[in-house]
Amino acid sequence: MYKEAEVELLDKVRRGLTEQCDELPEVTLRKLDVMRSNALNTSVPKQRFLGQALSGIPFAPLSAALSAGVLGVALLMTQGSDIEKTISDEDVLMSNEDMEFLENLELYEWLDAEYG
Amino acid sequence: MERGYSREQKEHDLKPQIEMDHFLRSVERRAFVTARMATKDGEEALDIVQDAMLKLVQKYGDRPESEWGALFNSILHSKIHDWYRRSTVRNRWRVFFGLNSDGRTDSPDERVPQTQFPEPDHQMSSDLLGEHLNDLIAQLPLRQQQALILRAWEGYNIAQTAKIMKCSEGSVKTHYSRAIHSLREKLGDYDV
Repeated sequence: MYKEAEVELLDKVRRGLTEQCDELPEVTLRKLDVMRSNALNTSVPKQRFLGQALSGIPFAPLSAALSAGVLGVALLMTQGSDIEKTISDEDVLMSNEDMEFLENLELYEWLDAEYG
Repeated sequence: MERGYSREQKEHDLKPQIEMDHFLRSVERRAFVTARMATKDGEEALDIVQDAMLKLVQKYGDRPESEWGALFNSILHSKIHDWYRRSTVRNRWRVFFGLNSDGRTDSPDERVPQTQFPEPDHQMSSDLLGEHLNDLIAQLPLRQQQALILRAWEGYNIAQTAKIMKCSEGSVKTHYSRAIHSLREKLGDYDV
């Protein structure tokens, strides 16, 4: 009985909120449109720039530069295990990492477990 | 031979942007209504939604699309929470100086929160009931409002809601149950 009443109440809540979305004034919808396109235009995903940038670069020097980069990363990774051991909470706090990123770490772990 | 930026390549590179556009279109109205309900101010709500959109695109645009919903809601509710904290501090100063949001002084009676609601009308139309319900949701404490919206409207489960609200699952259960209880109590005399 109580469960049914709760289901009915939640249905009303959902309908009420959805109606608010459907009845937003035209001026608000236009503002949302502008905001969306601003967000997309000011922050174009990285892949696009990468694709454009690579199309004009000769292959041989690029390949050499990439090889050198991969070698450097490989060398760093061999020492990585030692480096990791020395990282403390203090290092994390002293790093320039965005605090919000650190706060959200748990969310990322969950997203990774859920969708990764 | 021309090393042009082919149409296929262009479409391929623009795909993430198009997908992000579709995603933002699908959530922007709900985000605005959620923020407006929390702030009770359309312009503040637009600012919050804009910040959330920018941050999602700038920081998490390269994350898999399946994660965008949870990430966007996490950013949105975090922005709402920040706004709420800032406005609480601001209001404390205003009360201290006896000023309201327009800089005018209020009489003490005007500062008392509304605790009495209109007499229920059993024949209330569905539209009026919907409006009244929306008002009641807007009057809920922020965390109860967030738990209710995320669980009942956005459809997140308790664990997901806890991650988005950055609190424990137990807190979500408490906030949600208090929200339902409060709504039921205030709507008790209406034909829900």
